[in-house]
Amino acid sequence: MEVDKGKGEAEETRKVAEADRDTVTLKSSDGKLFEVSKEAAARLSTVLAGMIAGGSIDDNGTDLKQIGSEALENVVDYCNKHANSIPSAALISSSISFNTAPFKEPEEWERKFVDRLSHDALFDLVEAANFLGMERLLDVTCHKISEMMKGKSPDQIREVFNIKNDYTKEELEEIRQELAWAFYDD
Amino acid sequence: MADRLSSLPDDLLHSILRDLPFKYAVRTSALSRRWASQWLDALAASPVLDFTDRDFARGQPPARAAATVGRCLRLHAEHGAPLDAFRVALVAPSSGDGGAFGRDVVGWVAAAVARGARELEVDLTPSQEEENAAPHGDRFQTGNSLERLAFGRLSLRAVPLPAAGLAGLRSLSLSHADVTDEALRVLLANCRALESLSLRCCSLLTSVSVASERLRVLELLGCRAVGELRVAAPALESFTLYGNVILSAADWAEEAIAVDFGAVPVLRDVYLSHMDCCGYLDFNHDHYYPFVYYVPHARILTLCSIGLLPYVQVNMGNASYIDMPNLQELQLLVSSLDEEGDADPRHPERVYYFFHHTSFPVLKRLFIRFPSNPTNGSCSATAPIDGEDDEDVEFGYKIVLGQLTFIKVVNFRGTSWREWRLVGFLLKRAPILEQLVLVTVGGDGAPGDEQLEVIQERALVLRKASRDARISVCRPSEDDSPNHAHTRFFHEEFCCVHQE
Repeated sequence: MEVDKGKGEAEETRKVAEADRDTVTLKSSDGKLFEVSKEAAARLSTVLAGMIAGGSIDDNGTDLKQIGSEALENVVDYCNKHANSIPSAALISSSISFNTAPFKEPEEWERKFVDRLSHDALFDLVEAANFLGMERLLDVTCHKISEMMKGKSPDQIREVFNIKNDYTKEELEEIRQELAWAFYDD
Repeated sequence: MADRLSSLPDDLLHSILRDLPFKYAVRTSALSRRWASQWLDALAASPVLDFTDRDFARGQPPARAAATVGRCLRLHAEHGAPLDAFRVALVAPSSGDGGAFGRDVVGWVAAAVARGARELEVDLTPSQEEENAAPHGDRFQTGNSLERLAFGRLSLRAVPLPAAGLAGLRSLSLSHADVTDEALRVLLANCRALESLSLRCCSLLTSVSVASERLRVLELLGCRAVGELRVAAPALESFTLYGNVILSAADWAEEAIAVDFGAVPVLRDVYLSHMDCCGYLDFNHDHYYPFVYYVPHARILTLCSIGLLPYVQVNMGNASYIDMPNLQELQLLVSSLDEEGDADPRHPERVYYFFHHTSFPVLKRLFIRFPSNPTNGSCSATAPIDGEDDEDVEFGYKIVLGQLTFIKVVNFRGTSWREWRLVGFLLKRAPILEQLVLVTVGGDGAPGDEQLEVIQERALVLRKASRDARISVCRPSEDDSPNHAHTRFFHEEFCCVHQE
């Protein structure tokens, strides 16, 4: 990964001991190697933070057998983008509420980042983020999924996600009766 | 294609469901057996129990809604997850089982407080039939059982609350509750840790007295009968008033409205909007004292048109003057300038008095919001008198808005010469202005492309004190310029409510 430094400095960086490198190398289930900023990895992933702190990072590529190369590429991409993104200016909220919102809205670049993903790539990334303990990335990807569900009828949701309806007609009718208020404009 | 969504672990499904509006989360129970009770489990594991969805309250009988709330609370308790906030907004049953319903509500509140909830919101709206049956004005005083029980809870005697229960409460919001002045006083005395208090449409309140060491946020919305307000809250940072005491009569007046704001050293933002902003005001009183005089140290201020009025009335005779030494962001909710204007077109509107009788040495951003739906048609775009200069709004001395860098005018129609006069007035007095944004009206009143061009052309030739100021005209959808910190407009929200 590109690190924005002077040329001489970059040379220096390569020479310093491996343990002091500012990146870590991750290996996908299909053997591809990816380099990611150590600082961002430790900040964004509790699992990677634990591995870095515990010294279980392999300089030749830390094995992440559960994560395919496409998903890992997205994870690494996200980490590096996060490392480079400028935090959005703090907005003055209209009223102070100590009640922490369950989820902070995605930044513009995060939104774009998940929007370009295919259906499968999105779910691969959710699973990878879950495995690596990446809370923020989980929030952003789960938010994307809930956006895909919002405003849709159960039929439409089943179609989008290919969910098989295993209810009997009577069972379904019972649910709709019991929770009629939620189905009014369905 | 595989069903990737249903294959996700439960905890991920729960965070997805918690991110959905309540109604859509509940709908997922119809997807498949896997989803049947996921929404309930998601709620049971959530630190926030929020039953304020409008359809939840209105789309089913109160008893059924109550049963769901009770079931969720029980599940939540069994699950043992921490409970931070409990919010309900329900419609009170108009007759019959009101008593049982009320006891339920009291029970939930007691349970939530006992579980350590720091935020509590109880909104009990009278049922539709009653609302229609009751004469306008006292529809919230119909004394249905539900409100009484809400009051019963507030008296704190009816509910066996743990001793420390309310002492830990940090946020309280009551809407349409029949809380009285005395009950509120007792309640606040028990809530020592309260940081945020919101009272909305509590029609029995007449004299509100808030004394709290920790209170940071105070909202008083649509409590019509409040005529007296005393606030002793040294930690207060944010104050919102949508009510009738925005003007208080001078001390010597017989029907004086008492306002005592004490010392509020850390006050950051203030929102003052008169309830009848869109209606009438009794012009017979010529001794109003503007409320804003009590909070001159605010850094962020929203003020409605009526709030500007007293500057005319009070200042006509004696040139009293207000210093707002910290004000950085000002938003004026201006009613139609045409209505505001005197019959004599040369007579300046009250907004000019405000600028001439207030000093804002550090004002950086100014927002002016015209009504989105003016009651009457447009008047001529050109001034009825020769020369549309604003020398007529001079007050014998010049004002300078020396720090102002940004002006935004929302719902700008460009069809009234008064609008142009105001914009021109400001442009000429802002020597370091960087940007002026004119946002047109959206929806039905939106200008056609041709009209937009006319506005643009006219805006570009305006005289301005700052040579570098950029002037842009855009539609609401195209506007990406900054907004004022206050983005809720209670006169618009409540006007809709009143028309219902």
